[in-house]
Amino acid sequence: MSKFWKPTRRAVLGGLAALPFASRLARAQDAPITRAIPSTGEALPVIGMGSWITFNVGDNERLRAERAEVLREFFARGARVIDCSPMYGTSAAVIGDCLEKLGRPPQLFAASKVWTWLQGDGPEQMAEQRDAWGVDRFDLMQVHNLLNWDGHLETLKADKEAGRLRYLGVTTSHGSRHEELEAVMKSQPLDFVQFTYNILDREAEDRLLPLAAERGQAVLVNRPFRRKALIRRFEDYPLPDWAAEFDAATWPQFLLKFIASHPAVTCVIPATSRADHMAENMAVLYGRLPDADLRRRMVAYVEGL
Amino acid sequence: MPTCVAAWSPTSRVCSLDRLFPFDAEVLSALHAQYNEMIWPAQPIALLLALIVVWLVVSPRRGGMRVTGAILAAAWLWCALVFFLQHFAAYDFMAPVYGWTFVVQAALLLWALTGRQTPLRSRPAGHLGIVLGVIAAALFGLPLVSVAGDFGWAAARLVGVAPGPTALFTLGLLLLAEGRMRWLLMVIPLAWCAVAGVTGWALGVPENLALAGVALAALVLAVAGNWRAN
Repeated sequence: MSKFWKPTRRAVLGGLAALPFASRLARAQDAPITRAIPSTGEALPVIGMGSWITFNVGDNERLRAERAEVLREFFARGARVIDCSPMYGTSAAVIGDCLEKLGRPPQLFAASKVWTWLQGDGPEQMAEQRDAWGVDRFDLMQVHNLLNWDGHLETLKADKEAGRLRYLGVTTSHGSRHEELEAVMKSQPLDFVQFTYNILDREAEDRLLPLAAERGQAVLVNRPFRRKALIRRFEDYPLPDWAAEFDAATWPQFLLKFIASHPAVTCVIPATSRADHMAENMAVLYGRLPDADLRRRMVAYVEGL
Repeated sequence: MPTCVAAWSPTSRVCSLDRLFPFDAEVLSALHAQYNEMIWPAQPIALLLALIVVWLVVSPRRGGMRVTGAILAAAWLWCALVFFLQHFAAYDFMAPVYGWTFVVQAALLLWALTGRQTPLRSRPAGHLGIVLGVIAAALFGLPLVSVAGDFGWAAARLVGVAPGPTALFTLGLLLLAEGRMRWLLMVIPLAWCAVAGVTGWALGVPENLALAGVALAALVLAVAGNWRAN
């Protein structure tokens, strides 16, 4: 790739728009890349969707319609995992409304969280989330930011036993409280853990990712772009020519492929409020991923920018 | 609910302000537009009451301080109960904290201006003009800046019903207050302007940045005025 050509999201998407058959061709040739949930073997597409900020749009009909298009693109390209939290304002209700507009796609893997100090308030909060989403049960329920994790895990274990949810887990974000998370991962029978991991925030590589693999815990990765900060930081630099070796045509794809190629990662959950960005993210579900050598080159390249 | 503070990530080496705000600038503008539609015609009534306060400050009269205190307290209470606790709470987990802080300010204003009748009067010559400038920014300047947002005039933040202009309007009036009481009364308005400034910086909301800028100028004026008086 010429170093004088700096691919931007708009340029690449514009190019793809000129080839309307391209994405269909890719989908026809490849099944989406999936990873197995260790505790059951169920396969999940390696790219999902977070909803922090992006789906908190309240009752505004125009914004809700735009988010429905984001989800339409999400499901059309073979993704499944949507992650939310009661902390995210109106996001749960907006997701529920969008799912209704799309005819409740059966492939949905619904993931939410419990986020309250008191264990006794957890069941009511989870029931409110189910109502907002319009689902009978969540596939995955997580303790948000480890808040009262021992109390809520007790509830979640009972709910799983009773069939009120399929998987349970805990979350952190922003690289915080890794030591406590590690202790919980070691002591609790978790199906999933969620934490921050991206090409610059790689602390999880040292202990959390190997531990998840060792303990048979699926890994959801949040903040793959540090919200938008990593894209903004790198977008003025050219992608390296060798990014073509693993089919990364844009910086967001480069950043997502770095995370998705870690063998312990089950699903990356970038958030977006735009259908074209969703399409760009979902392209990572198809095509090649970098191997260990390329991953090292990716880190060296971005750290040199 | 957990208090969410700006996170210093040991690996990212950045203060992650986005953790504080569960919405973006477009949604903030949309929620103000929806709120304005919901509360109509409270806005012109609030504006009229604010103009009565200005008139009472420019032309002091017997009992005026009680009326001023009652109007300001009512504005803060409206912002607390209707804006934060009823409307904004659906979007932001911090809304109850903001709402109850505004209730405290309403109580303080009622106690200080209506109960103790802390005097509002122009002390140094020419001071009143500066104060009226701050008040004009609250009444008309901030709504004008709102036009730059995604929803234009519909999302204008207006004095008496929206927290930012109400805080700035109150600060402007407190520049005229005497005694130590005014510093106590300024704490919450200044704190809100600081929160709004951080929001403006993190999300790119021009009216919030303007609010923080004018509030900072008001604080400098208050400190400088106090220094000269001493």
